[in-house]
Amino acid sequence: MDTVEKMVPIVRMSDKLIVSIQGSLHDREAIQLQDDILMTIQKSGSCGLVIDISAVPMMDSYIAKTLNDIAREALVMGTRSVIVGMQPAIAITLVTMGLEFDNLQTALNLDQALELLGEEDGSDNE
Amino acid sequence: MDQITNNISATESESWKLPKHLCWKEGRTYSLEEAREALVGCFRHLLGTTMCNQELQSGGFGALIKNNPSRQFAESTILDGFEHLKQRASISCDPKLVLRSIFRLNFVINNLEGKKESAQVEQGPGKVYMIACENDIAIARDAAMRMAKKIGFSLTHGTSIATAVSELARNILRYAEEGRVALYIIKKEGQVGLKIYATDEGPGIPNINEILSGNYVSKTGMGLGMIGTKRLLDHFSVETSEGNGTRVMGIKYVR
Repeated sequence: MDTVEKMVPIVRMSDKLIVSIQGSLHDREAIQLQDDILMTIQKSGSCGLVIDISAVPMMDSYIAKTLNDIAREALVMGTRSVIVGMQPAIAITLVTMGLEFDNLQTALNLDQALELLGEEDGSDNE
Repeated sequence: MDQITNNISATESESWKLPKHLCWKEGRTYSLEEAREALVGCFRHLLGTTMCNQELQSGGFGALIKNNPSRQFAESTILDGFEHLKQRASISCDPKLVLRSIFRLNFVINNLEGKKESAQVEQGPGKVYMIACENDIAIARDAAMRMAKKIGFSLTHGTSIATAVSELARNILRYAEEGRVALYIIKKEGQVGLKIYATDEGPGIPNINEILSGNYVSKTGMGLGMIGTKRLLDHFSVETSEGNGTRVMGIKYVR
């Protein structure tokens, strides 16, 4: 029952955090990811979280719930989240299943995601 | 089937007759409700008890009639359910008698309105994937994706199938700790499809009806794993009861 534990990279970009999820998450990895993200939010004082799922080929209700949980927990800590890079097949699957993201916006690309997070915070970089 | 009979003998001395409105006549067909009524009546008599519908449902008869009335499935489901009820009710009744009754009810099953085509599903040899740890979910899921691609599913539908397999495998792992996911290529009237059969000997799902109605929210998920899976597939059926494991069958056809 040996599993290779992946570390999901969390990248800081000014006051935002970008998390790139590769492939699919195991139970343990999901819990680890939640911990890592929340710790990083606390340490860095970020006010925006971008979750990049462009390398996630398939999403089941468990992964969807994990993302929802991360977003909700980040929000409790004062950080809003945006999902980026959703593949069309996943969008169709989610809608067919009836899964919805609350507390979690989606954006088509990184620029839009940062804009979404920047705008509503009122922090202006211009 | 040399003789059509409306009498089913359980013992030497007793025999049970199909009620008048269910008697077989040349050219008649049976609705699902009538088929259920005939089978339920037969088994109530054979087992000599007045079982409530819920017990019969949990023996698999409900699934048999509602979801997949092909004769083969019907027979194996009846025998499974019969064994289960036998243990629970401590009844000694020869399964061979049961089988004989099944054959005599053959007309009922085969003449279900508009359901004859279900006997014409060809099923290829399947591949079975044991589910006992996290990695197994990924293995089964990837295999489903590959198989779907091979038989011509679009990327979207292949993803749907892989997602369904992932949901079912995860349920197995979470609630039963181990089980099997089997994948089959099937053909029906010129259509090609993929059949998923996920089984385990776990605790079963006592509130399956509540879950499938969409009103249930589980503590560990978004509550939509099972019903979400149903929505992704063309056909979906669950056979389960408390303490008796779970068997999920799903089919998706290539469009």
